[in-house]
Amino acid sequence: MATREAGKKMIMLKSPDGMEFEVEEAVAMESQTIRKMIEDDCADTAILIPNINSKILSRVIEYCNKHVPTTGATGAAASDTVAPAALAEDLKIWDAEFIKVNRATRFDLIQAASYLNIKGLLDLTSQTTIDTISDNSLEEIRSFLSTKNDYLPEEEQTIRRENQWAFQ
Amino acid sequence: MTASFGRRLRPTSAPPLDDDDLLDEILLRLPPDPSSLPRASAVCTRWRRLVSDPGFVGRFLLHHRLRPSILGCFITDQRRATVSFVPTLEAPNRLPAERFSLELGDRGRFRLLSCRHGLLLMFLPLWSKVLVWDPVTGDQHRLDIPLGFDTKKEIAGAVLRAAGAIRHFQVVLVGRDKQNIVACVYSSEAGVWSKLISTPLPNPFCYQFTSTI
Repeated sequence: MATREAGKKMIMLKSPDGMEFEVEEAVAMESQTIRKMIEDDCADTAILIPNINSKILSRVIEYCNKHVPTTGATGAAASDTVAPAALAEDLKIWDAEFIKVNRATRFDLIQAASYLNIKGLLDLTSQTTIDTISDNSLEEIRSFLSTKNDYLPEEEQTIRRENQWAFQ
Repeated sequence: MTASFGRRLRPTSAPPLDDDDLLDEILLRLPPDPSSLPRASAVCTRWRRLVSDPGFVGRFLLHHRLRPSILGCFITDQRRATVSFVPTLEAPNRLPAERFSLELGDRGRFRLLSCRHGLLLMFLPLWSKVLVWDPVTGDQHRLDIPLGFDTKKEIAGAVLRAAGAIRHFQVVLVGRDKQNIVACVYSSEAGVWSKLISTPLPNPFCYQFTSTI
């Protein structure tokens, strides 16, 4: 079985809005959720991905395509000549471009990465969200993330007083 | 044939920040600075509930284990029997010195044996005890030094936590008993010292314990 052309095997991913994406099985298996379905023989030729629309699913596939190991399964010999450090640097630059999306798309990608269990994409999307807020004031964080402050004024004062140094 | 996600995997349609599991994933990536979690807990009650959860704190430490922050250092004062914290970071991560300072009071003379993974280990010869102090929580654990150690002679020790552990710790003690080196490991989870390990000292007049790990 190991010598079978596993990298060439194609699988169909379907979004709930009716779009179909034919991808290499190795690319789809970047998602641990899909990997488990394939390994458990729960997927034959097509997998319906609920709640992830075609626009987001195509971005997820784009990410997986870029991040699938380029040796072995896909048989891309070209990567043999590229140093791992250069490859990692190239991926980092690519990721930085990939994640230049609006807030709504990024949140959709976080959800998709979580449901499909794609650790690298979850890291990238979550870290980018945190990086955009970590230097901001509490008010800015609440406003940026549409989070309502449900503290009573005196409760908030108590919390600030408990760790006054953290708010200086 | 079209396979679809089982019930267990069916996603909710809630936006990520309304989903506790996803918000938890995002907040794990807050920088490992001392001010991160206190500030996050001031955003709203839900954020406070999430970042105060011991499970979250464990995952947060695990996530940042390769980039730990050095918050400051400890200075011991034998005369006053105090351990004083000297913060080294700038605001808003500059923890107040008094927050992490300890007065040993009537416990008398002491020696700092080890400082690792957010814990301090001190030897209290007068009481034949070691003290494990967690400056963050303020928890103090006083442990009797097991039989077999000569507490009048040199004792070395170390305290450590397993990766991701936030409550439990281990203490390793190495000391002397007549012509032997003795060693023992304490596990806070088991609440007991291991069996004493003993081996003859190669040269009884020339030894120095520098490290136990």
